[in-house]
Amino acid sequence: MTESRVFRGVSGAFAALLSVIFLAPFCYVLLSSFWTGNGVNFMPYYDVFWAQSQYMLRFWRSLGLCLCVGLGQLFVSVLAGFGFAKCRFPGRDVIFFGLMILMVLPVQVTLVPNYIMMGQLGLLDSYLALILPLIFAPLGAFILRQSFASIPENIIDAAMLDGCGIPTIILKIAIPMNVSGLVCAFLLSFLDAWNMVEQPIAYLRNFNYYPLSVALAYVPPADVPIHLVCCILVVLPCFLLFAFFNQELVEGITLAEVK
Amino acid sequence: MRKKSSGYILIAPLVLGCLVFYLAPFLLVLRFSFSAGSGKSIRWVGLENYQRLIQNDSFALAFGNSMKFFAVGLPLIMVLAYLIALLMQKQTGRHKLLKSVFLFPYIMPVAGTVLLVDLFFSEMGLLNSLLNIMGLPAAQWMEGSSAFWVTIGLYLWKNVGYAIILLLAGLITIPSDQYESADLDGASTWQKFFFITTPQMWYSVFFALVFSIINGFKCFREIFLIGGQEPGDEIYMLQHFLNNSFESLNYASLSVSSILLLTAILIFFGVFYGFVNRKEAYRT
Amino acid sequence: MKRVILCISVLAFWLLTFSTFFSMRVEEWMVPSVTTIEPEFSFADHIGHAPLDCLFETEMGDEIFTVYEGTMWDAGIRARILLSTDYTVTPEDVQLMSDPIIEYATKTPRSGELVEVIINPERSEDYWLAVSKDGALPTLGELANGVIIEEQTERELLLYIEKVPLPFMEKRAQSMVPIAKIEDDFTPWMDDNREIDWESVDWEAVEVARPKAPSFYSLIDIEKWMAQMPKIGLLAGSMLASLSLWGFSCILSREWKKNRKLLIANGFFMLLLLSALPILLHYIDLPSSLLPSTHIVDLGYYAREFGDIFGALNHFAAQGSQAADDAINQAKSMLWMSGGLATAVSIITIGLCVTEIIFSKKRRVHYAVKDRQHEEK
Repeated sequence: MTESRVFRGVSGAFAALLSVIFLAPFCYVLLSSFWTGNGVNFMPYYDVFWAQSQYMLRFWRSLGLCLCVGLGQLFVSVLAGFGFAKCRFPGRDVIFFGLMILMVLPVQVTLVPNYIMMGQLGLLDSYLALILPLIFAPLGAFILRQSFASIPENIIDAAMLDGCGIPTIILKIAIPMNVSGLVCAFLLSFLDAWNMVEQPIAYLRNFNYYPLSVALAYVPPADVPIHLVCCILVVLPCFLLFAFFNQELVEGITLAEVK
Repeated sequence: MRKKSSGYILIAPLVLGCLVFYLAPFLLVLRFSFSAGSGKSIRWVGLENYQRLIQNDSFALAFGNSMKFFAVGLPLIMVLAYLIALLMQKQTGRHKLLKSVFLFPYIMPVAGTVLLVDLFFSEMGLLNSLLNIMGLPAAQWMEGSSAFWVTIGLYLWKNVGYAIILLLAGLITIPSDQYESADLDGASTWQKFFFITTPQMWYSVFFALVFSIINGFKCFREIFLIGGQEPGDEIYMLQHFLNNSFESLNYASLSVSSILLLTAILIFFGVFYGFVNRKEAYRT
Repeated sequence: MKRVILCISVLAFWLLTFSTFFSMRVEEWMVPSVTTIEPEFSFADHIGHAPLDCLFETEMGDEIFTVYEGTMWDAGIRARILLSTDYTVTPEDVQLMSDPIIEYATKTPRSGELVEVIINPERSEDYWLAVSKDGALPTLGELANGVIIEEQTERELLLYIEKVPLPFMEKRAQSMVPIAKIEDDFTPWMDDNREIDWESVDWEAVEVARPKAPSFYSLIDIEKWMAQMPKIGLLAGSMLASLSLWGFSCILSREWKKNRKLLIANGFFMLLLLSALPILLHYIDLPSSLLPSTHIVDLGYYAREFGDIFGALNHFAAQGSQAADDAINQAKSMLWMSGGLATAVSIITIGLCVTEIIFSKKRRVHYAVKDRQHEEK
């Protein structure tokens, strides 16, 4: 396609501007964590990483929590996604539409009844209150249903003729073909759990149990450089995960679209 | 064979979990919305709560603000994401930096964005310092109507990457020979966009819209942490109202507003989903 | 790209795990042990009295600390500076109404820092070093009961104490070995309203006449510190070993399909070292009296203090003191052990890497030979 030089120049400038806008805050956080007005100062890093153990312990706790949520949701979503994509049963589309609506609802809508229910189940003030609702969030099933739908029917028919049961089909055919969709679902649910704010404030009474992101947001440390270093700590796992799975993420969402 | 039972077994964990953790609470919400009092003294009052709430000033403000937020934010984010996605589609091989970078704001944690907004937009923040250097008067970015635009800007910054991916995914599936034959026929850019791109993109646009709405609701977290429980009038969102009702244990108004919110979402979705399905039915 | 991110992630994971274990231990080491004292309430003037020992010298002048229970990010028993309006300093004592205040501490607490309150200390005999930081030793006043001066040089003192509560607290030592009171002490006048007339004080003269108390060190603590040296050497060695294993694995991972077994072996060893870390850290027990007050990696502090300490010990050993001689010998042997252990761990790691290289080369040769045999057939 022929494009005028002006167009290329303008689009290049536009892209560069956008990149700067997206990237600048991160660079700012990184830079100001060790550069104050007076020069390079690594004391905040020392304070967060070596002087006190509370930041690191909270970090590991949050990580464990989010991994539980991610893996649990993955398991549930693989089953449900395959069921919605490949099995025909009455009411399938209606149920799916209902799940989609539930996915869109903001947290506040079900927060109070959930709180009452958790109280009755005795789960308040424990991590289960945070993990269980997130494991059953419909987001993963939504993404995986789209990606499983792209498996050609004849492969599954052939497998069934060979006498494979459904678990075998899922394990040996569906999952290896859709690794990017699985990764995408895991990453998005991990990110959701890592960034959750409302649920811990509502369900957990003890500040010591708050995951790192909530604790940081709700009661920011008084010292701004320490706050910045904590932000870096909070971004780190997500950043590494997203950088590692960058390709799968884009593919996974792409596959979700292909009819 | 793929009997109905295997389907039901497969979706059972998810559906059961949703029933317990999402639907059952929602039914409770429904029941609360039609009753008054709490604990042992619940009584059925029908639509009285609804009437009272619609006349409630703060509810009207909150609902109106949320609608305004989405009415302004959704088109902006869709337009911006579409532009960028089109740019990336046409100029494959360029803009490598942008391609790796546009998801970064999405993974920035809430604490980070709150800190950044504080550093940037507060009275002694970077923006005001910049303005001072340039000789322009500093403004109160976090108060009044500019707070609304700051929120919209935050929403756009954080979530445009997500919408870009969804739209880009759809754009990629359009075969390029369609564009080439249109070029041979001498079609203009606008005609190409309108007649080739748009009809095949409805599904992607729908997805992008769905996820942008979800992310828009999540934007509440930042607003809550920046503005507190009672932020200024301009950014008092529906979720603030829900939250305050939660704090004051006013289950009735909480439930009614949830039901009204759900109704609004259902209407919007039903209409748009039907629209998209009709358009897609033309294709397949 | 993925390989690079994986290598960085492994390093990040290792660093974070190490930081977690290290910070848990550093917190425990840096906590000053303190003793608290209740101000004695005197019915005569309706105010509590506390000895002048309770004044701690900080960067902002003399302060008094109390303890409190913190919340949220500041949970635990912590020290807090008492507002200067809440107490009055007189030449004899401090007058205040308050909860228990900190009397002695193993190192000067900082406001907001965690502290450990000692209630029933054990007692033991000890040797103390007193080193004067600027100039000659000041004239000493009356020593407390059981304190004997063993050796003396111009700037340093070696003292023997029969029974002193452990852990060692510098202010307690300073109160048991006080500086002689100046005859003409510059007590400010009090005017008719019993308010101190600070204008009448000649501060410069006060500075000159009231010399700084010497710094005290306990030989028990010094020996304890030195006993940790081998373990610290082992720690440093294992850290170096982990890092070099990581570097080696990164290089190997360029051809990860061929080097799969080696990478797994390396991973196993790194995990082994990582799990040995907390055990090792648990057995290291640094006495807090010898730690810097702000952060543990203040190398300048260590250089200064240990320079002073061992300078004094060398002087006293030359003068024939048995205790000083023992201390120096112990320190020397511990340092040698520490260096030896660190070197041993490094040698083992290098040996491991070399073995792996040889092993992989052998396998490659072996398979090359097999391939050639195949072709020849």
